[in-house]
Amino acid sequence: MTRHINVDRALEDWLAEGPSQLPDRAIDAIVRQLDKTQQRKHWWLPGREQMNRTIFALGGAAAAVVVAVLALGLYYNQPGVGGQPTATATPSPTASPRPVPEEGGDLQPGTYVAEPLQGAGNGLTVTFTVPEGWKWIAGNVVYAERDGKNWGIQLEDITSLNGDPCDWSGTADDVSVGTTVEDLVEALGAQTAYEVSEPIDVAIGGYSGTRVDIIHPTEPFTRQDSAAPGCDDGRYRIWSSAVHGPHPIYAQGPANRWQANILDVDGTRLVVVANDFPDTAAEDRAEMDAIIDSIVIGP
Amino acid sequence: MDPNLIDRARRGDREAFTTLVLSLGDRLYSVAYRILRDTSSAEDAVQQTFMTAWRELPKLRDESRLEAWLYRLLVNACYAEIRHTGRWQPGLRLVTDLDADPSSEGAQLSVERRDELERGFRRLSGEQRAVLVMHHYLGLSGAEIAEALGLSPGTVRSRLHYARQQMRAALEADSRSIATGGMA
Repeated sequence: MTRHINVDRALEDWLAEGPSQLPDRAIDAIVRQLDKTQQRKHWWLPGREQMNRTIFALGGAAAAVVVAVLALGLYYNQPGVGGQPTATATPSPTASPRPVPEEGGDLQPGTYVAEPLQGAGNGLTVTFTVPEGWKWIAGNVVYAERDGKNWGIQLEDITSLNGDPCDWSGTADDVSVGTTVEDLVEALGAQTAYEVSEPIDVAIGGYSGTRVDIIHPTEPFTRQDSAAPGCDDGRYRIWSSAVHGPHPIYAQGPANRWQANILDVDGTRLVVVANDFPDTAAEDRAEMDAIIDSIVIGP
Repeated sequence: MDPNLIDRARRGDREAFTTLVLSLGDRLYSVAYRILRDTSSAEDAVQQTFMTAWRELPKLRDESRLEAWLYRLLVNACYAEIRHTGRWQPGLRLVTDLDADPSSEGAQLSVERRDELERGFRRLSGEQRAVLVMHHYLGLSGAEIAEALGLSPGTVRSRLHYARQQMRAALEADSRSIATGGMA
């Protein structure tokens, strides 16, 4: 015979019992450790007021900035957005232009420079070096692939988050991302459709910012690829961008991992996303990290 | 919590941070103990929480979220303790309290019931224990737990549901085995 059990009541009574005072020895240990431990200085703290002043000073111009395009070859496909492709063979300003292959074609190993914000009247340049075997596609992406999976790097100009990344074609549940690094980090951190890690400091290309890792869910995908059958257009998209509107890069498959490095480039927000999977080979990941390490952002 | 105190601590004032430890330590320890069911592990989790908080405090931009943020750090520290100790220690089994009336659900828990709860609780995952403690001990709502732990409300509801379900199943199984004279 099973007696009636009020589980909630039993739990509450039981949890109310037990120790509730942190022993002095633990407090002493914490205080001792404090003396030996330095706080991590976060870039926005000492300059917080200064940063706010900068944002106010920029006013509407900052709000309208079109950020972050990995422009390699992009302007071939979007002549209305910018000018001609600016890929060059070496970092040397006198080097001859290197021809950019057709979308999806192999890039020659070497260093490329892009002017992703040209269309917004910003002369910011992004220089990076790719090894052999990397390709590009429209959508601000350089990537490599093997066995049906790909990994790559994209630069984004995030204008809003999709409240429901599966139902991304509408705007009713769009989430504002403000104009600053902090704004975007906070907006991402508040999302529940996918996992977002704790923010950490990062520096890329001479600029500091904040990194969060985004892990896409597994449910929208029925196979080990990017097809999300129940979603708008069969794609799962977490954000929109200024250049690509509601059609920036989408999740590449279940548990797709996006390391989002959100940089403050002199008041302009640039998002460098390293995109891979938990099972991406270490050497492939290292190659991608090397490309990110090679990035130099110029004024 | 005094925002000025938090701000001072955030800017490296160790004395201010020590005041925060004294103010919040007991509460965090209470929660850690209830998740881990072990005083030594709970102390370690609280120490780890405060050291992480000290290092990372400069990045806390909203002073009003300090407590929720600390809970998140604490729960993560508890998960680490559980991993470190290889999940649960077997724990002591209490003898059945023959004098207790098993049909009553009074405020005073019987020895037998405590044993049932302890064993049932130890079978839960760390994630389930955390939400159960935050809800039934701290009295936080699902939304508050979700915010504190950085989870979706749906995930919290789900964890609570399955945790309660498992506790019920554990208690009922124990109650059946006792009613038939056995002790699993």
